[in-house]
Amino acid sequence: MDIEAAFTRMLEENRGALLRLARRYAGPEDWQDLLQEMQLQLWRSFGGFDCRAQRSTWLYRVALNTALSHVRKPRREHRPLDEVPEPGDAGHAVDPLYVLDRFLAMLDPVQRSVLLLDLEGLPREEVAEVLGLSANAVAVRMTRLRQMFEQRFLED
Amino acid sequence: MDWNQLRHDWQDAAPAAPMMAVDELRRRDRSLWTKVRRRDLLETVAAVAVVVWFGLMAIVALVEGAWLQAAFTLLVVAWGAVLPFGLRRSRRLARDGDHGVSMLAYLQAQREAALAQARMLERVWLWYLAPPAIGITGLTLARDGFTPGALGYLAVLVLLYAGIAWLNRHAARTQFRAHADELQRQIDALGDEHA
Repeated sequence: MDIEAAFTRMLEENRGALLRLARRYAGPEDWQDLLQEMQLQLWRSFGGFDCRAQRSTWLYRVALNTALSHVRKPRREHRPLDEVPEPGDAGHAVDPLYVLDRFLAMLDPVQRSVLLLDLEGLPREEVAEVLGLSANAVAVRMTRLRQMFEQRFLED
Repeated sequence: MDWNQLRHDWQDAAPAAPMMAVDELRRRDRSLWTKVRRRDLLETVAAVAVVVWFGLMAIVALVEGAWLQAAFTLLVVAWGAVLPFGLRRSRRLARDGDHGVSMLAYLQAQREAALAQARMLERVWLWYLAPPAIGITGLTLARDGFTPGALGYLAVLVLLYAGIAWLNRHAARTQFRAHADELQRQIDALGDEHA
């Protein structure tokens, strides 16, 4: 398979994940810019992929590192905390996905990545490889983040 | 709450957006490199102009036996010859780095790059300003002596260079060192077992 076809296939297979990541690291007005940056970085790095890591691990690394660079640019602002609903806000707590989205918005970019990788279904060991941490460290963070989410938003 | 169900719902939800075709990615990549090459070319042309102009002045000074003038002029020539390499080095430091490494390694590399960039800007007076300042000061005084015109010209030059040095130090502190501090906070947040 030539490199172009392999790349296109990889993008198609991971389209949903890339879209979801871009949405959670950029605002409604520029998430498509971030998505394009991710694709461009993936294309630039694709030739240098050396198979030492799984391809999905590599893809998430490139996408998340691009997203981190994106949020550090001066025009990118995190959504303020007051946009995050408190438990019991009318119409919010009923949809866990909506609440989860708001919860992600209040996390700092690094914490957010831990939760996002888990939501994408990556096994703990792979999350650890993406982040450069031990599997235990990832487990500790995941447990804490889930508890925060459940206590703050769903146990009301 | 069933976290697995939440995860499942999460993965089912994706907004619609077209992915870029490889041809478009290739075009954008090429376009960026064209800009980089154009900037490199412009710097090289400017450096060549400095080298040629001051080189000719040095030759004239040597022919006339004005050794002091020739020496200071040659200092400017040497600066003009090495400047493009210095500028390219600074751009290499500022590059985004390999995105395919782990997040922790990426943040650490970014921090190192930001600190290297800050150090380079803090020393801009040494590698960017001092050689031409010394060269032009020496050349002016050797040629014109301590005349009011020469001293006025040199005073303006010193003020200009001091301003450039100050702006660079300011940028190093407020942009690159601040950026490095922010990256360190992220590294700490990621690496801290109790975060």
